[in-house]
Parts: sequence; structure tokens; C-alpha cells
Amino acid sequence: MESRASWLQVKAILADALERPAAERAAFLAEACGGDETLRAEVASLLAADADAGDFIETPVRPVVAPEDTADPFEGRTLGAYVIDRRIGHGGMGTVYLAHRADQHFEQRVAIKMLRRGMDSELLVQRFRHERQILASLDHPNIARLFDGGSTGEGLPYFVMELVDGMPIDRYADEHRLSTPDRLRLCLRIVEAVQHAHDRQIVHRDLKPNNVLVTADGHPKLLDFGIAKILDEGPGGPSTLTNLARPMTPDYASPEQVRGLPVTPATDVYALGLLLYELLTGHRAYRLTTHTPDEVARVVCDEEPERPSAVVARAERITQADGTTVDVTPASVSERRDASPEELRRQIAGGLDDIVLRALRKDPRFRYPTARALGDDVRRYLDQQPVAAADGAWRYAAGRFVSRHRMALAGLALVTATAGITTTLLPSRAPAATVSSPASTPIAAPRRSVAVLTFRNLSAQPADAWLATALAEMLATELNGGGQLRVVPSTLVARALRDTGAAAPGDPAAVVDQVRRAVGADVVVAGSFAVSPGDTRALRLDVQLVGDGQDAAAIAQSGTEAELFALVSATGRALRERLGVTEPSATTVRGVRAALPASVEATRLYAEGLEKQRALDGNGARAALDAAAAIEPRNPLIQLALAATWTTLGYDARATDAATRAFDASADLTREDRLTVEGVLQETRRQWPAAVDVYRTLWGFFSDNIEYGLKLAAAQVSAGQGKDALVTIEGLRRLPAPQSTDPRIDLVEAQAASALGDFPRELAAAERGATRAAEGGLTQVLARARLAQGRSHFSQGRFKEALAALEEARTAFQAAGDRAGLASTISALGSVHSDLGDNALCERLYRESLALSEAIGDRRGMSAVLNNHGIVLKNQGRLDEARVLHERALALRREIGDRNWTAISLNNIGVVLFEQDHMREAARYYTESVSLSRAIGDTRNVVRALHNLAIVQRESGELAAARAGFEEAIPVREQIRDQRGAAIARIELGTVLHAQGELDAASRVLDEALAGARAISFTEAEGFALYQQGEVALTRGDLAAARRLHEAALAVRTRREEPKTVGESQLALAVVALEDGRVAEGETLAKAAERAASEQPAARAQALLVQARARLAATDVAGARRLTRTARALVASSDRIFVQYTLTTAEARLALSAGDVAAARTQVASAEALLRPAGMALAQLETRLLAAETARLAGSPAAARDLREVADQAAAMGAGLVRARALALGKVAS
Amino acid sequence: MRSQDPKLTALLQAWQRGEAGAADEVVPLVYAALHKIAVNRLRSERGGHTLQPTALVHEAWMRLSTERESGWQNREQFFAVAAKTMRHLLVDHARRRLAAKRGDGAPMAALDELADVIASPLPDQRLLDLNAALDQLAALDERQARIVELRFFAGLSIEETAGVLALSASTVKREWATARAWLYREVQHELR
Repeated sequence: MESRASWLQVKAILADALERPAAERAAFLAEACGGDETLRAEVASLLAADADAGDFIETPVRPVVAPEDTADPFEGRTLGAYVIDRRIGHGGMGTVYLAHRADQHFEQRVAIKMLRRGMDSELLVQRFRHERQILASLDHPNIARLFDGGSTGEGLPYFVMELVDGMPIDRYADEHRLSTPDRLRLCLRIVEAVQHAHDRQIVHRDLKPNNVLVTADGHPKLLDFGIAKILDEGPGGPSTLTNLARPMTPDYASPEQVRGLPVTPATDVYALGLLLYELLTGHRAYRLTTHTPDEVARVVCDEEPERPSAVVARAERITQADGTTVDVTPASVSERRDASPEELRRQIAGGLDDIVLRALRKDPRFRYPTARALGDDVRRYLDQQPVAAADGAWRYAAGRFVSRHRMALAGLALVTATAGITTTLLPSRAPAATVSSPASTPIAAPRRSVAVLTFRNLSAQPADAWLATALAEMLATELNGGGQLRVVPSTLVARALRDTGAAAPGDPAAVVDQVRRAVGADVVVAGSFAVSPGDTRALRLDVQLVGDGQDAAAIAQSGTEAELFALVSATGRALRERLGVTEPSATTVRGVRAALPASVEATRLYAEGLEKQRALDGNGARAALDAAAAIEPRNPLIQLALAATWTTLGYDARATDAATRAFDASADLTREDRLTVEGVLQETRRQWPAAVDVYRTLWGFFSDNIEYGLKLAAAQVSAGQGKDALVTIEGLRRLPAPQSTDPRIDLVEAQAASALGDFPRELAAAERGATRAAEGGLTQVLARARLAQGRSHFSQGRFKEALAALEEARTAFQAAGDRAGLASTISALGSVHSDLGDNALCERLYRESLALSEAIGDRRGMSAVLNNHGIVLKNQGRLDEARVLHERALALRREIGDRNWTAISLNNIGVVLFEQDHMREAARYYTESVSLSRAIGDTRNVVRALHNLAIVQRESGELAAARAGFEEAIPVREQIRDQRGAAIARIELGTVLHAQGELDAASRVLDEALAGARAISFTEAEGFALYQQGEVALTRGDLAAARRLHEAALAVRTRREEPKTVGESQLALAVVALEDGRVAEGETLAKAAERAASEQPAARAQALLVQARARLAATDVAGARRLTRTARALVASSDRIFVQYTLTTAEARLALSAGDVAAARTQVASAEALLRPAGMALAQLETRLLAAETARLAGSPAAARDLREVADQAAAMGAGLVRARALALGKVAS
Repeated sequence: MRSQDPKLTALLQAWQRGEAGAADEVVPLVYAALHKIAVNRLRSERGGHTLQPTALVHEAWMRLSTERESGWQNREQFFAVAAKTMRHLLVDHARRRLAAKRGDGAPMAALDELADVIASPLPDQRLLDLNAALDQLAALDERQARIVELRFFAGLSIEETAGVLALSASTVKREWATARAWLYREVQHELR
């Protein structure tokens, strides 16, 4: 509850937000509420209420007269190409209309499903477009086509679907008195249709009798395929769709849907089980009375359904959807099934009980893995064969109480060829991971995971080494086809092998065990090969399957090298048989063939390239893969590996080219592989939202595959969807162990937290990741975790901790042989040392990092360190050198096509140009940087470049604009917890306030800045803040304070070894000394400052002018004139208004000292002209003083009054120095 | 309705000034007019069209405004009172019905006749919650509460409401949208 005043404010923002599309509201809210979290939370809560409110009070009270319906508002309306005829149905999701095509070319009648109000139509339509291609691939006689989708003028989403004239399957079966076998045959057609969709990675999610219509000629049709997917959000959960009614019908919801867990094909298997249950028995599997979430959850997740054969003997009253009740009795049920009650019971008991209950397992892992498997079992029943479910039922019961199988492993080395390969088809088994309490186990992983180890080279010929990688890669691709197994990416396996191999040399069994744990695989395929010497190149493969409860199965194949592909295929077939996986379809086999290189030579080069890539030798990998691509330019895997290599080398544009070629060549691949290729393409293009879509689809369908979840989360972070990434990460944590404790999840969480500015969480995640990586012996992951830790500490200004973590990262990267990681760690170390003020060490580290990046050809790494080095040089006043480095970095970044960093380089060059006093040029670079950053949505850099633009504005005298810029930047920077940026912005704001004559405000802001800088040991800002405070003290006329502050600033800056800022402080002290009457000291300091500023014309001119003042104090007018003339020559072309102003007033002062009234008048007039457009109150006051002094010199009677007025004004402003001078002159005048 | 009733003018003025109790006295007077019209309409159009509250209110106004010295100064005032009347009726009725369910209520009064033919799209308890929330909203923003009354209890459209309150339609739309969100949230809170 709020006050009237706050409600006004809340209401205004709320109303604006409600007028925007839902997707833009969060961003709008953050902006509109500034940093006011309470306000934001209040409006957000009301927005949530609005989204929830539905039709609340939209319909007014009305007198009840006629219950008869009024005409439907949509009848007769045109939607796209269709005209609505009439309403034909109404349901929870919306209303269904009959419609026809509006154009007269052909008569097509369709059904239009209009969703009810309250759904986010924009998002739905967007998602529909994305899914459209996939839905178009659903071409099956038993699936109703989805033609189109859109939203009405009122914003109601609708779908145009094939019109099916039929009745729900349960009613149809009852009315036609279908027998149990007929019912099963009808169901089989549904099962096949579902399988067709599953083969295209589409899960229905909302199968129920009302979605299965049977036409008059007995043709079943599935409705609404793909719609539930579009409405639901998938594995990311309801993060962005909190208020969207999930299209889940409580009576037909699976346990995973009720719990909000990932939906998989097993969800449809469950729904098919419910459908079978009802069709066979006439009873519901569950009896829900209230439909409250609690009851639904309890019944669906905890209650076991009664055996179908038992339930048919029951009499009960069933309430139907329309509220009417039906009495169901054994007699009525069996009569509709053309049987007696006893016959029906006997038909169902046994096989059908097992089939139905297996499909209805609470834990998806224990259901039929696919719709096809369910269909096969139904067919077996119809053929009077024993059903597989019977076996599964037994295993399920036993498995609940059996602890994890111990891994059986025979020796690896001594694998002997076995004559035949066992051909028994094992029923597909559940993975053995923690089956003790299925109800509490996270639901995922219906597939078994397989890791294929790099093959061992038994013939020990180095020339054959490529086969080790090639065989593993080919076999992994082979096993992955068909998607029935989860094949651990070979990159991961290779890395784990590298990490653990060193730990247990000479003990292959231990290595296999460790790798299996490290990658979280259920089964490991460990193989070896031998090539016989001589021209025949006879090749022998021995492969062993190692895993839980797996007999140490061995498979041997031999042939010649030319038969490599046939050998691998045969091995794959044998392995699949051992694993109880059915043969993939012809399409899949084609997909696997299309993926692998066709020739032995290309395979060899490809394998070599992969091996080098894994050994982090980017240049070597590129050479091998280029050669492979030259032989087979249209092989998608070679191009994909090439893309990865170019990315490693930092070439975005070339990586994109390779990925594009891979994508173009991917048409024949399996859909999973094609999506993977598309994901890489979008990544190289930095099209993060598109990448998010791709990975969301992959993770949605293969929600047991940690790789897709990790990629999704990483893409979400890059797309700026940090909060969504955290939701994905939650999903990753629900995977079964050991996947849920994979340290890479912690790493991506650290990235997400960093992107959200939550540095404590970043740190905690990085630390957790480091611990887990260390435990698992994953050196490279450990190194990355340490690097993340170091960066987090650095971001929070904890330099000592940052150094410690980065040193550990350095050691770990060295151990892992990751030179790219090492280079970025060393560069980060350099930056920390720079902030700590040790420039020499910093430069050494930067050079080391640059050399490393150059050695491996990493353009991005090179540009990063050049950039950092440029910043440090700039801070030391070595502007020309700095500019050269920044230009090199910019050129590299443009070359590799990295727009984010190009924008940053543009900004940094702007900074150097500014320092060199090239205002207009600097403004040009800043502006380009701002527009590029805006185009790519890089808020941080937008703020940064805008801040710099504000500085240019200030220096050009546009104080109001500059002030607004800084005032805008400070809260944004605090929001993203950029403490350093916030401190700097405060100081800059302080200088503007100072110039505007708001001395108290300036002091306040500078105090805050100083405290902020000290809190994070940010010495650069500390020196800057002290300097500006000294300047304010000087204006106030408090010479003692000014001297103290400037001396403190000088001390800090001297420690930082920055000649430029040291000179600035010396010059300030020189001015203080002159005001204090210590002329000689002032002159000496000003000369020192001039030397320090030798490369900066503006600063040098300032130093010369101060020297001129010293000369005047010593009544050496000629000397002063000489110095002033030199200064003018230096800055004649400067755009900086302050520079010109200082010069002009110095010349006026010179004229006054020389008694030249006319010249003084001219200079005062030019100063006034300079100040005319801007609100530079302090300078204007100073100019008024000069004018009064000139009047006094000219003997004007008004001079005394003018001086009094200046003194009064100065007093009001608190400008003690001007006031004292005006008063002193006034006294003399009167 | 007694058009000559001199008391009405005074009462309306008191009501306009927001004096406590004035509304309680005005409501029965307006109710009498509404009731008469509603019953007539319902009798003559049995099974016909749905009688919208807005039609009821409009017709009542037409009839009253043609009666001279009815005490109604303007249409806007009448609509506001009519909306309030509807609200009173429904809330009172809901209260009684709930009390009757609990077995401790007073018997239904004659006043309930109209309420029986004015159906609220909200369940009784929900309506009472809305009523309470509307009082709270009035404390924050009187105008918004009146907009809600006109829209929900008198069935006025955005444009009609804008006309009655002499506001722009876009203002009414914004006020309505924000009030609806606020009320919904408050009502939801009370559910817990």
C-alpha cells in the first residue's frame, strides 16, 4: 500500500509500461525507475498482477435476462487469408472457429484456434515463426497440419489448422463398439504419428482424447502438434512467461510437467499411456476431484494408477468435462468393447497391464524410451508375443532396491578377437545412476551416455597417430546418429584423457574409470588399433565396452586402411547391439555418412587438425584443416572444425565464413547435427538471440545433454539475457550427478553473474567451480575458474586477492598447456599491477602476453593486450605511443570483425586524441563508438563513450550538456556495479559543478568520489579527486587547504609514476604558491610542470602562462609577454574553450600590468564572447573582475561599484579568491 | 421516484461534498428508479436481449431528466450515483447471501429484488474483496475509484466514462488499466 504521492508516481510508470509490448517492459521499467528499487518492485508487482488479471472486472455487472448467447464477435471477421464462419468449439485455451480462405482461387476450409486473452501474443507469434519451419516438416497422414498463425487486431494469437471433421477417439471407439484389438490398432496409428514427430524433434506435450479425433471413415488425426511447444517455454521454465497459462491439461499432465521439469519425448509416451488406459478400460488412470495444484501434484507424482485389468471390474460415476456425470460399470465398459466383463479382464491382464503401466512410470527414465518402443510392444501383444514391458516391470521393481552396480572392467590391453559378436537384443535399460528413490531423483536422462576414448595406437608408429583421433571421432559420430545415445563430445573426452592421463600413467583401467567419472558417462568405449607394416596396411580394431554392470564386451574388426569406413560402421553396429540400441533409420545413416569425410586422406588431415586444436595449437590445426578442406570443401565437420580454429585464432569473419560453409553443407545431416552447426554459425556471427533459439531447441529436446544446456546458458549471457541464463543453470543443476556438479556449470554461472553485475555471486560460483575442477583433476577448467575468480576480485577492487587468484590461474594454464588462457591471465595480471601503480611490471607482463598471443596467432588476444597497454601508456602521458598501440588494436579488431571491441578501441583512440587536445576528432571517434555500441547493445560501452563525449562537451564549454551526461552515467555505472567508472564520473561531474560555480555541490560529489576510489584502492581516481578538491579549495580562497590537497594528490600521482598528472599537480601547486606570494617557488614548480607536459600542447601552454604570472609578480612584463606569446602559439588551434579562456585572461592580465587599457578591454571583450553561450559562472565572475579592474585602470567612476558587486557575487558563490581580490582592489580604488 | 422531493437536492449536494451518510440516503432513491425500469424492461422483453447496466442507467436518466425539478443537476452526477447504487446493492446482497449461508444473516430485504436480477460476474466473497479494495483505492485516488464504479457497476464504456467525468478517453484508459492492476493485486492478496 502506498501513499497518494507515491501512487501517482507508480501509476504514471505503470501506465507507460502497460502501453508497451510485454517484452520491452522490464527494460523500460529499469530505466524509468532509475535506481529506485522499491519503486521498480512495486510497479513490477502491479505489472505481474495485470498480466494475471485476465478479464477481471472487464465485464460489468449485468442484469440476467436471457442466457442465450449473443453473436460471437469474431464471426464474419477476416484473419489474414481466412474468413471466420462460425464457432465450433470452446476450451480452456480458447475458442475454435470454422473458417475458409478468403481468396476465391480454391475452396479451403480450415479450423482457427483463437487463444484467450492474457497471452503474450507478440512472443507467441515470434515463437510460432521460429517453429514454423519445424512444424512444416510434420507431414503425416495422422497429424493435422498447422498452416499459419498470427494475432488479431485485438492482439489475440491464433493458429490456422487443418479442419478435421471427427470425434474424440474415446467417443468414437465407444460409439463403434471397437474391440480391444481394434482399439489397440487405432492407437498404433497415433503412436506412429507421434514417433514421426519425435523423429523431427517435436514433442506434442498435450496429448489427450480431445486432441485425437477420428473421422467418420475411421482415420485418426492428432491435433495441435507444436502448439504446446509454442505456448510453453521449454526447459528454461516459465521465466519470461510467468503468466502464460501453461497448456497443460491437469487430467493428462505428466509428473515432469506438474513439477515444471524438462519435457521430453517420454512425456508423450506417458500421455499415450494415459490414452491407452482410458481406451482400454473406460476409466481414468487418476481421479482428480478438485484440480488444485496441490492435488494434481500429489496424485500425478505420487499415486500409482490401479492396474487396468483391475479397474475394469470397478463401478464408478465419472464427471465429464461438461459437468455431466456418467455411470461406468463393468457391464457398460465391456459391452462397448464387444466383450463380456470377464473376457475384457482377461484380455487386459498381463501384457497390456505391463505395457500401460510401463508407459505411465513416474520417472521418465523407466518408461519406454520412445513412442516406437511402445508401439513395438503393442504390436508384440497383438502378435501374441511376450512383451518387453514385463521384463522392464521386473527390473523396475528390483532396481529400486539395488544399489549402484559396480563397474566391471577387464584389462584393456589384452583384448583378443572374439569370433562372433553377441546378437542378443537387450531391452534398453535405464542408467544405473541412483535408482534407489526415483520419486526424489531429478527427472532427466532417459538416454545412456557414452564416451568414446581416443584409440590407443598399439603398433606405435607415429605416422599412424592420426588414426587414434579419427577412429574415436568417426565412432562417436556413428553412435550419435539416431539420437538414442548421448555421446559425450570427443573434445571433452580428449581433454579429460589429457588431464587424467598424467595422473595414472601405465594404468589404463584407472584412466578409463577416471575419464568416465570426469565426463559423467554411463559407458566408455575404449579401443585400440594396430596397423601392420607393409603396403597392405592391414588394420585391426579392438574395442571394449566398459560401464555399469556391463560385461567386459569386446569387439574386434579387421580389414585394410581403405576399408576404414566400413570397419567403423561395423564396429558401431556391433556396439549398438551390445548397448541394446536399435539400428538408426536410413535417413540417420545418410546423415552420419554426410558428416564424415569421404576419403582416407581428408580423414587423416581432419583428425590431425582436431588433435592440434585440442592441443591448443591453433596455427597447426588451421594448416591441417585447410588442407582437409581443400580435398573435401563441402564436408560440414571439417568446416565446423575450421570455424572453431578461426575462433581460437580470434578471426571472427573467417570463422563465420567457415561456419557458413558448414551450414550450407549441413542439409543432409541429422537434425541435431544441423542445429549444432547452426548454433556455431550464429555464435561466430555473434547473433546471440538466434544462437539462444537454436540451443534452446537442442536443450529442449536433448535435455539430458549438459553440453546444450551449457551452450544455451553461455549464449544467453552473451545475448544479455543473464536472468534467463540463471534459469537455464538451474535446469543444469537438476541433471543427474555427476553432470549436475560439472564445474563448467559454475563457470557459466560466474559469467552470468558477472554480466548481471553480481560480482559476489560471480566469485562464489568461480570458487565453487575451482574446487570441483580441482577435485576432478580438470586442469583447464580449474584454470578458467581461477581466472574468473581473479577477474571478479579485480572488478570489486580487491587487488591482492585478484593477484593471488590470477597467479594460480597462470600456473594452471601452464600445466594445461593453454597458451591463449595463459596470455589473457598474464594480461589481467598486468592490468592489476597497473591499477596498483606498478607500470614497469605492468608493461613487462603486457609484452609477455602479446608475445604469447602472437605465437599462437590469436588476433583477439593480441588486440586485447595492445588495447590494455595503450591505456597504460596514455595514463603515463605517452600519447603518441598509446595512439599507435590503439590503432594497431583497432585494425586487428576490424580485421577479425569484432564489433564490440572495435567500439571500445574507437573510444580509446578518442581518449588519446582528447588528451592530445584534438577535441573535434575525439568527438568523432566517441560518436562512432557510441553508435556502434548502441547497434550491438553494449550498454557499458555506450555509457563509457557518452561519458567521454560529456568531457569533450565540458571542455568545449557546453556545461549543461556535460553535466547531464555525467549525471546520467553515474547511476547506470553504479547499477552495473562499475565502482571505478562511477568514481571517475563523480570527479568529472565535480569539475563541471565547480565551473558552474556550485562549489558546495562540487565538494560533496568529490568527497563521494574520493571515498569511493579509496574503498577500492583506485589510486588513479584518488589522485584525480584530491586534485579537483584542491582546485575547489583554491577557488574558495583557502590556500592552506588547497596546498595540502594538491600535495596529497601529487604524492599519490608520483607513486603512480605518471608524469602527465604529476605535472598537472605541480602546476596547481605553482598557482597556489603564487597566490601565496611565494613567487620563486611557484616559478620553479611551473617550469617542472612544463617539462612534464612536453608532449601535451595545452598542458604546456598552461604551464607557460603560470610562469608568465610569476614573471609579472616579479614585474618582468617583457618576460611575461614572451612566455604568453609562446603559449598562444602552442594552443592557437585548440578547440578547448577553457584553454582559450585561460589564454585570453592571461593576456588581459598582461595588458593590465602593462597599463594598456585598450588592449585589456579587447581581451576582456574576447573573454566575454567566449563565455557567452555557456553557464560557466565561475569564469564569468573572474571575467567581471577583470572588466572592473580594467575600468579602474581607466579611472572609471563605476569601477568601485563594479568591484563591490563582484565581491558580493563572489561571496554568494563562496569564491573566496575572487572576493578577496575584488575587495583589495576596491579598497585601493576608494 | 418522487420528483418533487426537496430532500433529494440537499442530499445530492451533501453527497457531492462527500458527507458521510449522504450516499446511504441517496442510494435508495436512485434504486427506486432503477428498479422500476429494470422490472418493466425485464417483463416486456422476456427472453429477449440482455439488459446491459449501461442501458438501464441511461434509461433511468432519460426518464428522470425529463421530469422537471427532479433535483438532478446533470447527467454526470446521476451516472455517478447510479454506479454507486449498483455497487451498494450488489455488495449488500453479497454480504447477506454469505451471512445467510453461515446461518446468521438477516432475511433478504426487498432491496434485494433488483440485485437478484443484476448478476455480478464475481463470486460473492470476491465482490466484497473488490469493494474493500475499491475503498482503499478511493483513499489513494478518488477519481480512479469513480472510473472503476462507472465502468464496472454502471457498465459505461471508456468513451462514456470519459464523457461523464470530462476527461480524455486516453486518460480514462490509463487510469482504468492501472486501477484494474492495482485492484486485482489487492484482491489477490486478500485471497491469501
